[in-house]
Amino acid sequence: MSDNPYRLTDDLVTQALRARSADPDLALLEDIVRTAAATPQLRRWPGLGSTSLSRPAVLVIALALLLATAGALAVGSGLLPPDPVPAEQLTVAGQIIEAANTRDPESLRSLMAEDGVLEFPWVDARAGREGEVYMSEYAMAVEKFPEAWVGNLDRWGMEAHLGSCQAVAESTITCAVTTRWHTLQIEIGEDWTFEFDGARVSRLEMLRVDPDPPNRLLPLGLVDLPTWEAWLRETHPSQADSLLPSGPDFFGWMYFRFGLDASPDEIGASIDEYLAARSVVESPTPTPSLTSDGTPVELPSSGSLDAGTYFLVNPYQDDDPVRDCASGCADYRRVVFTLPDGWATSGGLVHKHLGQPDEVAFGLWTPGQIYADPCHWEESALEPLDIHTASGEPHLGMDDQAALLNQVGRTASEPTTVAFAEAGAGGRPEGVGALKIELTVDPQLDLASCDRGEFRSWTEWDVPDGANSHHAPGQVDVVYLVDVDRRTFVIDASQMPAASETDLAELEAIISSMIVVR
Amino acid sequence: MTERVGAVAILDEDLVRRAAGGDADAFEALVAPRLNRVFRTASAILGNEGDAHDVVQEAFVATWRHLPRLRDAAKFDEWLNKTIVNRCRDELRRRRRSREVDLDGAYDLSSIDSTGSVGEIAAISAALGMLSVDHRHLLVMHHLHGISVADLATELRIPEGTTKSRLHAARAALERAMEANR
Repeated sequence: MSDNPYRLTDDLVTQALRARSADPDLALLEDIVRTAAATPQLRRWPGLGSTSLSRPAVLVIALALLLATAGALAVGSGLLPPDPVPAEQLTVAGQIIEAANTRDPESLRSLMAEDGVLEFPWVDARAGREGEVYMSEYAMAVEKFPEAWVGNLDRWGMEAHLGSCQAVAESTITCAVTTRWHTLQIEIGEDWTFEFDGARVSRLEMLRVDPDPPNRLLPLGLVDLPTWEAWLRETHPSQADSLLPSGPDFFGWMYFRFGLDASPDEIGASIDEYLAARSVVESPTPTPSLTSDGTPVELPSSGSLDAGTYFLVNPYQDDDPVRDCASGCADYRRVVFTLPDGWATSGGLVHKHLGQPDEVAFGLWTPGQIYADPCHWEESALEPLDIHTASGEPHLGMDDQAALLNQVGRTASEPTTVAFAEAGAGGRPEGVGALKIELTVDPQLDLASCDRGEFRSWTEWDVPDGANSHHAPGQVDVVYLVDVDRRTFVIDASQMPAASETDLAELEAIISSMIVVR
Repeated sequence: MTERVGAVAILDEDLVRRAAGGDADAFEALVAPRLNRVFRTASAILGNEGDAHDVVQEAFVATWRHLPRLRDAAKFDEWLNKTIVNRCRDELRRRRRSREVDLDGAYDLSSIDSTGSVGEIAAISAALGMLSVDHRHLLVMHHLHGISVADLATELRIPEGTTKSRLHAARAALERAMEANR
């Protein structure tokens, strides 16, 4: 900024914003009130659970819906509006569902009013954002919009199943709809609200109301997709770069956000792989931990684990002639540790209760650089990790770890020194020294406000876009910066706020069992 | 020097409940004292008066439609503000999709006072048009509406330290945008 010709003062920012802003037209208030008065309000419908129907003929749908509506009125007549749903409106609703399922834009046009709109709102249910409504409205009159919409449905293999309907206002009905997105393997519950202008629909609103319905026929709810994204970023970072949106986005947009750039085939294949890995994790057959001669075995890439002794290898000691290991990776061959029953592994992480509020986990890292602002990491400064003074002696003072100790949104304990047992050719009787720091993520952190919904500690050395992003609000990471001949690798033992004392004791025992093999 | 250009209307929760029950007069009584501030927010974020007009109208009508779903009347203003910002985000996304000519920068230079030159203000305004909606919104709330860091923290439901950090990041992004435009 030093050679910028303009000063950036608070006063100038204020003036620029004032120049950009304007007062409203005097008629705007009148327009808003008049339009609102002519617009029916959407009331929460207390009706019955949805009744999934396979794609029957329209008249059969209408008949079934009439029966369901009659039942709803009989059961809950004290709660529901008194007017029955007109049969002709139910028929049109069924025809629109049919047009969506058969990807028929011309039918859609004929059923919607010429000035009709589709609206895709969603109500945020995340903590701190309950009730927040997001809306995106699209006019049917926009050229080729119906084609684009059904094209998007087709890309994701959407199939809608109509449940029971209820009148919610004059000329407005809301129907429970189960939508299945076969490419994404997700099934969710929605409310579709149809506002009528005569015999045609002037507004169709599709509101997601149950992102993770019970007894789904497809394996995933909407809530699983962020987990898949995190898995993809961790296990296949380069693939994630090409498939996932780069900017921060909202959970509720999930099955639309992939519509523009990414290939549905590739996304579907990646989700298949994710599901296969998950099924391995959930497999009741544990992986054996010892070879027949009793020596430790390498940790498998995924799966549940039997009690026993395993090792993780240094992924950078692979004799790669291109990688300049001397400039970054730590000189150790493997880390051996002993696990009790009940642990599993995936994506390089060893864990219990993965993704749950009581999760405990650990992993090995070779950090590249430290993010000064882990939440807003895309624009954050990056600082080196170096636990040594200029003279080359390990120094464990606060000043030398400024980057890790002063991250925005995370508090750090005073560092202490510990030692891990050491074995192999370079092993020393006194073991290998390490710096232990406890880092706590702000419990009030709104993860969705972070860049790409991720809180990143550090970059992974020599992995494009690789980073330690496995964090949640209130998470505590006990980080061991292990000093191996002036190179540092990290053992990161993390615990979620609801972790049990038993699991924490197990985690501590596992860390204590570790042997660094040189 | 930050001047408050849009006073915050005091919320009458009974008006919210009546509007949620379908009372259009109550809704008008909610909209009227908020319209000026909301419009200034949208126009400053979008940098275009016509777009702001559409966005604000759509946002208020959408608020009316969804008002029965607002469970806590006390959160009406917070909800309205988020709805406005989300609508602005939608509008900017739509502009990108349709590859329309970016109208950011169609600003009123008559409001510039003697402390800033036309060139400086134009440069800052153009840089504002390159920021994320969230950064623009933060700067609008703090520098245009004069909302203190403490009040912003309350409104955004984040710690004061985080608010300061985000404001700092927004300012830094603005500086980088100016540098890039130079």
